[in-house]
Amino acid sequence: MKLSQMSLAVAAVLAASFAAQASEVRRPYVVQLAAAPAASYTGGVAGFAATKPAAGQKLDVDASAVQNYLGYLDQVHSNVLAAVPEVEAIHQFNLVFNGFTAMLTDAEVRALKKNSSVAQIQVDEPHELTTNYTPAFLSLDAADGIWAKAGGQGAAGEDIIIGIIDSGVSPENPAFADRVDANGVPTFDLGATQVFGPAPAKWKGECSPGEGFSLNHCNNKLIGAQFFDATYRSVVAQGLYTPHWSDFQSPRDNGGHGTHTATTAGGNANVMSNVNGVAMGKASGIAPRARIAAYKVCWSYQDPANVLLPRNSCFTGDNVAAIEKAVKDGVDVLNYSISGSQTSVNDAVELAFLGATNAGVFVSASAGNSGPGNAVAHLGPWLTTVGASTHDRFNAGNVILGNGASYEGGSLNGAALAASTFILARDAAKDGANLTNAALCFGSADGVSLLDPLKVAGKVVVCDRGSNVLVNKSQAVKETGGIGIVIGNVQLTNNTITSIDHGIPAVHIDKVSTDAVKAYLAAEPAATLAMSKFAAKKGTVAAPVMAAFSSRGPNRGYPNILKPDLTAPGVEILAGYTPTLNEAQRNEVANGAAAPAAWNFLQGTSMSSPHIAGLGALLKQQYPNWTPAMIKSALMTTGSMTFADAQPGQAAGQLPWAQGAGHVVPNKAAAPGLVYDIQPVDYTRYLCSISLPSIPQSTCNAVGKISDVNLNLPSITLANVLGKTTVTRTVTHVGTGTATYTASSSIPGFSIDVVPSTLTLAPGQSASFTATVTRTSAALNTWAFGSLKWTDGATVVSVPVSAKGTGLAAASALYSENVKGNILYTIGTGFAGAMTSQVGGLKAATVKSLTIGQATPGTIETSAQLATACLSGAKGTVLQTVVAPANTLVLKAATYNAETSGHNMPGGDDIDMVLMNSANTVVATSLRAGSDEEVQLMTPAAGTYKVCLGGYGLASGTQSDFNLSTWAVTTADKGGNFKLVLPGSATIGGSATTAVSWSGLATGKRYMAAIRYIVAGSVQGTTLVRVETNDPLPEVTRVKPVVVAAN
Amino acid sequence: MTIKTTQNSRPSRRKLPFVKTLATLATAAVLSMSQAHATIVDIDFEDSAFSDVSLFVNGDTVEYKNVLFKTESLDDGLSGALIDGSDPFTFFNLGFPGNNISAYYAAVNNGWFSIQHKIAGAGIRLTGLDFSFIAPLPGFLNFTVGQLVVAGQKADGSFNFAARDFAGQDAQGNWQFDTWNSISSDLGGGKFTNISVLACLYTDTGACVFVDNNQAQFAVDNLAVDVAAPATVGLFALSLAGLFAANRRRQQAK
Repeated sequence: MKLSQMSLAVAAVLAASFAAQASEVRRPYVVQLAAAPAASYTGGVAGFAATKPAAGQKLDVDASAVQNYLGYLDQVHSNVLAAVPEVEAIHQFNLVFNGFTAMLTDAEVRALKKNSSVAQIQVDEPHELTTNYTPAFLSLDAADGIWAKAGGQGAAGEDIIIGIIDSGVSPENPAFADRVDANGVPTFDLGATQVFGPAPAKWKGECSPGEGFSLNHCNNKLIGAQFFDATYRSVVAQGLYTPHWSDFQSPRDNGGHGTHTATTAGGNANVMSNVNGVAMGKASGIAPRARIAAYKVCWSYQDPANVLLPRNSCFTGDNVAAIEKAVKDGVDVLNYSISGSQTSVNDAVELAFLGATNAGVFVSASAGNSGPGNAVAHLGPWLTTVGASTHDRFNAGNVILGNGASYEGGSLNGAALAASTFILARDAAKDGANLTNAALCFGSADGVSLLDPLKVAGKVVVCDRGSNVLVNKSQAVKETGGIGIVIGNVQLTNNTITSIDHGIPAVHIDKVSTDAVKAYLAAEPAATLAMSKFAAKKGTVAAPVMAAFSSRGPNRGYPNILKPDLTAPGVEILAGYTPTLNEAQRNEVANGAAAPAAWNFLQGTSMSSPHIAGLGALLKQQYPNWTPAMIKSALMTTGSMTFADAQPGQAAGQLPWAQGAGHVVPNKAAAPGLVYDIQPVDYTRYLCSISLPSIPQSTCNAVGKISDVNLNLPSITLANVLGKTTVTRTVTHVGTGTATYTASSSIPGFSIDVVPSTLTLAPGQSASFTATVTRTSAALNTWAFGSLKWTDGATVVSVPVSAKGTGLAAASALYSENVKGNILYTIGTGFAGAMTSQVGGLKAATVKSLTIGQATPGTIETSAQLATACLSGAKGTVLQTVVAPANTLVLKAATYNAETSGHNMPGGDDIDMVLMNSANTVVATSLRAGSDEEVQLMTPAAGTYKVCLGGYGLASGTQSDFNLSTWAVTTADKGGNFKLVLPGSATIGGSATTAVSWSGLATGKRYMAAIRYIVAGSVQGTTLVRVETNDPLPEVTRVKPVVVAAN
Repeated sequence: MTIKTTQNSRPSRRKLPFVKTLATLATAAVLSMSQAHATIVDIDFEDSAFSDVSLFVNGDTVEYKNVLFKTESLDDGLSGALIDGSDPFTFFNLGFPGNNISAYYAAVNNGWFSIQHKIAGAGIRLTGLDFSFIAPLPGFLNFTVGQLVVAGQKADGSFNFAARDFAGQDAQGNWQFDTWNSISSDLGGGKFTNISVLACLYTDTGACVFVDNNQAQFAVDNLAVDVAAPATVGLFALSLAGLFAANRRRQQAK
């Protein structure tokens, strides 16, 4: 018997024995199987023909070859599931993704890990909507204003179906009406003129009734509304989540996010918008004649850590189910304003979107709101990943001081506020309150009320910007009796201003104005302050500017792929929303009462992504045979440079890391001249080249591979120029008439040689060229930025070029689970001759058993809050020290879900961690969901560091017993007979095999070693080696949602 | 087919064994040994003598059942590794063999290996082995990459060569072990005092050339080595060892 057969047999025996332990806690997982889904299947299974559609064509689900192959995949699913008899699949996928989701015990996960049909198993992690989740209980007062539409007219988007995967849809919004009145204004009046015909023939979806949603809510505009909650319901059934009363088990939106994104992308034109009943003027979606299909995947539940705010999450399994159904339904475009992995495309949602792209669907996704940090999400090169920037409309209001000075800021004040006394929030703090947080106007929504009603009553309060959510500040003022709020910027790096409806008179002013207001108050005992009514105007500040919250690159998973791809408006976007409903009103709506339509201003990359989805619909309408890659290329190569922001270094808004190829220019995108197309097979070749474990090798056999730098993207990103790198690109002429294009290019410190440098192309003709990027004067390990442009004299086709010269390219991490073994790995070499190294390890973790209490909800939301809480010895925190001796190569601390006392209790324990240096500065943060936390520093300065742990949400509600593992690996640490053997020689632009070996490790431990590679006297790379001999479970890596959009 | 050798310009580099004629062992060559029964040693790399070394550099020698297995290289860096084919973690980003879940030997970078009878100068025959290519990166190459070359050095210092194409890749993209059982006859049937095993790579013009860029990497398993020796081999060995030592002293004295 061969070993592989033996392990299968062992797995079956183990699986059978696990049945006796069925009472163990089950958690949601995504199990991916080792065969291509139908949208990506190119043949290879005996008896089943290829099913992937031809380029530019959409997948025909009803074709017999597709149906046959789907049947084959179902059989494979059954065989795998039969080996774990206690497991019932929640979702099964075979169209855009091959696998299933299920609630699994630890033992079942370990059994499936060993099943040869299983490609990989990942935790089914909830994802979040990428905007500020505005609490529904906030009452929003009247305001007046306008948001100019940024979309097309007339027939824009005709018969294009936009699928919105989100929090559902509020069907009463006239943006979704299919009739217009005598004035051409959209209406649901059945006596009005029907202006949308039946759904296009390609549409195969449906309208799914449920709580507060009937078949009548769909029409010829809102042609589909469905909901996907099987995974969510499974975790609820396990007691892991408690649903929040505000939601509806139906396609009906709770929270407004899905309505906002849907109406932004494809809402009707000429819709009379209002906020809380007050007219805000006409609004339109980007593609107002498109049809909308809503796919609700996000659900609201009780947050045990903060009872005041419901949380809202979208589980991977439900998301993939929606993507699969949308493709089957025949959508042309998908919008996904939901968080995603910042490090990997090896994720079920990301791979399902590859399937959707292969099926001919253009997908727009949000880059994330974790900026200006390097945290861009949605890394798949098939996706169009969108950052957020400002637009040039500005809702302005003035702060008028008693001395006559006036300062303009952002406001939605519906009426002026007469001269009133005012106070700085810092001076209005309760006795003993944390003055920093009081100055920020922390209130009940932040879990702690710091303002003194006696000092605030009847006054306007000046609150510092930062840390907590903007509307939490105004609520804090309102709940303590304040009559108005001035939100003052205090940092030049966070100096954008917002106009949000705060429910009380409010103006948000920049730092210079804030300083002036504070100086006036300090100098004038009888100071007063008035506010003007707001007026919409063209902003005096240049736009677009990248929003500080827009997540920045470079791509942390695939440094040779540019992300984000481009930017679009995502600050202060007015679009459809959900009405504010109390519990009784919600119940009436659930029972069939009509809810009023609502609108609101939101910001986030959630808001910019549907702009691109709408533009994708317009281009798909104009060019029905364009592939998703051609649409993306047209949007990128015609983008414009944003205006400078104040972010320093690699976070600067004008770098490709923030704006991608630039700010979208719709009119130019409609006539791009040349496009960089990518055939679906090239995505698969790319995935083969990065050895994605979930891509079937039989597929790679059929298609070969293409290196990441040669994927035909409209961007060139070279993270490892080992002397020089040559990339290949192909452009296709999509204009009219034969045209001759000439190349020009530049990037500081490098030369670019484009061959050939002129291309003469007939319409529809393609030509390839190479661009050789050679390092000349650029410093090693430093990014440089430039561009490569083709122009025929009229049209400019520009792609960003980013390059970094390196001496060596080595894997950052190696991994094994064996007590004795070796690992061989290939390094890229940018030098000739020999190299040396420094090595430390293997070293087992120092494991300490600790107990932590439950922290006060809302007090450790951010790394800064957690650090402060630890240093003050607050309840629910534990502070430990770890020493980094001289010559420390790596310092790491970690906790693990499986090593918490709440692991086998419903909900589990959520412990968070930050690492501080001796000056108490936070140097690393891990705020993941659950307790799989890790903080790590490479080459830390010698000294004593503090590991700060917080009991964010504990299953017991009171305390958790857990293990803290720490490592400080120095060059003096030797263990496990660890040995590194370097190659003896290297060539410029070549490769070499390197290897490590070890032996004699104990089982049940986690070991670590670190390697530094030294070329010509300087460190040119590092590799961490982890050897975990404890048969570890997959880790939860999801970061808890960051509320950044409006703070 | 042609086998070319690269001309190495760096004088400090070691040369391939048949490019530079090794120190003469002519005395040993004329010794006539009485024929004995074929005694086959199967070097299957399962013995801990190999896994204890794990990573091999130039000169590392493992003695296994009368055979000296010696790693050789153009440089002093990593040149070989003992692979556990059942270990899913052992290859991080190389294109590696897929149809061998036992232990085997990988010659990497600019490395190769040689085998000799542990009695210096005694003749051996390599009758068969399993072999596969190892690529620097995963992925499919839609051409024949090169050949495994066996160079047998006769007692008179001259060489006989045999070569065979590497097998391709399977449907999963893994390189394939192939079995070569006619090595002895391909080499002319005689015995050799030293047998070197190395790889050449095809050029665009179809020549198979030896390279020094770390890319001619390969794996071997199940070396069948005929170590049959005359009954009086012990006496011969003593005299051979003495001759060899004297020869080395002469060389060092130069």
